[in-house]
Amino acid sequence: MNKKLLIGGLIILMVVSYLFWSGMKDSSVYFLTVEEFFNRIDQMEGKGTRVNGDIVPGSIKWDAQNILLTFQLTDGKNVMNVRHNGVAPDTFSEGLAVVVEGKYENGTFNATQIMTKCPSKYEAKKE
Amino acid sequence: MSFGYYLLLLAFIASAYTIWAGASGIKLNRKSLIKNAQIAIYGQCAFVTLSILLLAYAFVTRDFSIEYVADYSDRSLPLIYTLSAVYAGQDGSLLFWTWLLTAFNALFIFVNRKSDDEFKPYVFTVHSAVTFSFLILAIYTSNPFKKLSPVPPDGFGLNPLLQNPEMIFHPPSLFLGFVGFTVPFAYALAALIKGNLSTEWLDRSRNWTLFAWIALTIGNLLGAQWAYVELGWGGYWAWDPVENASLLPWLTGTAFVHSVMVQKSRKMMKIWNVVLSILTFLLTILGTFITRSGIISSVHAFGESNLGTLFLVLMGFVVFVSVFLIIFRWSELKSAKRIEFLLSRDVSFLVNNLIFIVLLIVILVGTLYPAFSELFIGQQITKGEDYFNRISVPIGIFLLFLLSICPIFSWRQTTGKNIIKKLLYPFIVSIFFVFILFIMGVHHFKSMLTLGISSLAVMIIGVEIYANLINRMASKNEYFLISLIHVLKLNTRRYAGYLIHIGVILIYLAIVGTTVYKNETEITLQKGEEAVIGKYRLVYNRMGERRNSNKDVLIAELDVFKDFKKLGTVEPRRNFYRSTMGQIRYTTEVAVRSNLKEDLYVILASYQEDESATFVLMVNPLQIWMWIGGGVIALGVFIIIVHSIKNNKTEPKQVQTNSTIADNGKRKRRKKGR
Repeated sequence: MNKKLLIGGLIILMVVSYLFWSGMKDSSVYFLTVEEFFNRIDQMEGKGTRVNGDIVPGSIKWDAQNILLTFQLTDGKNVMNVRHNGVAPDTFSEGLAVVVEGKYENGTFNATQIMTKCPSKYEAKKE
Repeated sequence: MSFGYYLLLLAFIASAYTIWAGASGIKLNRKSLIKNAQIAIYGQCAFVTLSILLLAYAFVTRDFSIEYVADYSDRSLPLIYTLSAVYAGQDGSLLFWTWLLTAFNALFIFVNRKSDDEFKPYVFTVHSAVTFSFLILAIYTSNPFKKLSPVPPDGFGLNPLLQNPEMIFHPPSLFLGFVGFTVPFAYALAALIKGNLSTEWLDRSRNWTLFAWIALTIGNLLGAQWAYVELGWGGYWAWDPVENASLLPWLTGTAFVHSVMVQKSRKMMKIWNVVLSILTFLLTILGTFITRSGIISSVHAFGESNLGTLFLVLMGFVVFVSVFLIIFRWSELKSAKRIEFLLSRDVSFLVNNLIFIVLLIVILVGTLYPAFSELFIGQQITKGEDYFNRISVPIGIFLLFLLSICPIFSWRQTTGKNIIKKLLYPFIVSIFFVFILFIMGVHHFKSMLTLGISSLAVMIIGVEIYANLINRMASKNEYFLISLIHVLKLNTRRYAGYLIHIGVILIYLAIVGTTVYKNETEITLQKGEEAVIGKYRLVYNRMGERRNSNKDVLIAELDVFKDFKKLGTVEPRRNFYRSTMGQIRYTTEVAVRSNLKEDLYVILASYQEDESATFVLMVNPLQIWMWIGGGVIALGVFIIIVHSIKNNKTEPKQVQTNSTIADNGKRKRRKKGR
């Protein structure tokens, strides 16, 4: 009996390890500031990244007809162009700190997701 | 410092006294001390209740001399949200948590005031120790009564995202779940300290556990619903650390409610049950630690505070004490019996438990990954939704499979013949069902699998009830309906358990519908123009405005047509909050048109000077079944709790020895048959 259990357990363990491994593989998303991003820009081309920065005042352009949002992200020194095929989230405004997730391709960061950091403390208590 | 703060100090003293009186009462076997300890528990509860009422009163009277009140409300905030602001921030939510702790403890000794429960003094002493730790936090690091000087003319205001009906019920429900698991934890420690590791502690804590579990389940679902209607992205779950934090104790809690049954029926998994109840409690604390300490950067930025360190100390202490006690009682904890047969309910429960633990580890690793990567390689690497989905979807489907076949196994051993007999027809029907789905256009493999297993589950349950029904009708010569009522009544617990499983299946269906068959489009419309999504046609009519007490509302009106028939109008909005102190100026209010088949979900994403507007349109199939499923689960748990309270009243000493739930039903049936 114990043998059967052991074999069953081993099979489960193997399946789980495989799942774990396949989940771990290329699901890493680097979380960088704009500066860190530009420091290692040669490795970053086409890789899933989250970049954290402030929206450059006056850089937000909204093309309603094509549902295209473009803006620039900065850390005070470097400036990164961001494109987003979609609408801006609530609270999206100039000077605000945001996190963009996507890939850097041909000099532009194509964001699949824009996350605004809630500015006031302990906001959005979504437990 | 205000009066509310002094009340917390009094509660602190009362909890310290309870611990001392309880512990020495147990040690010296002095009834008077035990009695005094209980009076002190009512004292704790009274002090903290008064304290939180004072905080609520400060909110209602707009007393901005209290910093917390000024931070989380303003004069324009409607009354109901002013009250919910009590637990909207860190300090207040900690006070709320503490209050629930004292309330649970008071309720516990009140309910058991005439009980012969030998665990009682141990349980309320351990529980008071938890309260004691939380009161330290409330007094030293998160005092919600801190004064503000000079007193501002108006408050900072409540985050508009929290001004939503779900937010009134979601946090209390979640906290009830978190705090509720303190009781089984206290029972586990009581059993360890006392050395009585029979099933008694499980029986006595069963209803508390079930209550905590259902509160946590509903709390999580309400959180999902809040994300769905308020965050305006059409989803309800994003594997955010904060969401994961409340899912973790749910996983071990769910494993625990199942493994309890194994120990009760088979006297196995003793260590497992002790560990699971302690682990669940620890994870409720860990969840709070993750969300409050700032070690994980979440989209939801939380205030960083030294609260984290104290939580860490508390967790470390609990682990230390628990491990010590478990080692101390090791010989008593070892199970007398072993698993004998592979094809048995014992094994299916064991596998269920292992899978829940695996899921726990996967989600824990993914959630804490950024913190560890920062620690070891100096770079934050997060694990995205991809990681969680890739692992949890197959595991989730496997769990559903276990859920579906579990009724065909009996305890200890099931013969292969029996399994085939019970499985044959449901299996054929499910295959047929999947085949029909395939013809109808469901070609997504995981969806077919999930739907097939769901139908298998429903069929197996149906066949079992039907077999029982036919048996009874034949032996008793009763009418169909009367027999049905009897059959359901005689197996209340078992069938209520199945009802909970049905609720879970409904949630699975909703997940399949909303993730695989979601339909989404974004479009900019001029007035009078139309958009098409799925079978719906929407015509953008006009933009209107409305003035509310604390906000201005911009309303877009769209007529909805389906098959050339007008169904009505939807009004996605944008709320502009007038309070100038807060940073968030506006929120998007989605319009949702729900029916049993699907949700039509409309977001007013943006609007231009020329009155053209951009909309995000979505059709989320089967979404409503997620909420209905939650209701069904709650109903199932409610039936079980009511049934067990009623049974306890009629048979005061119902000691379950070696019976299974199924056997129990049979025995009762036999008794009634005589």
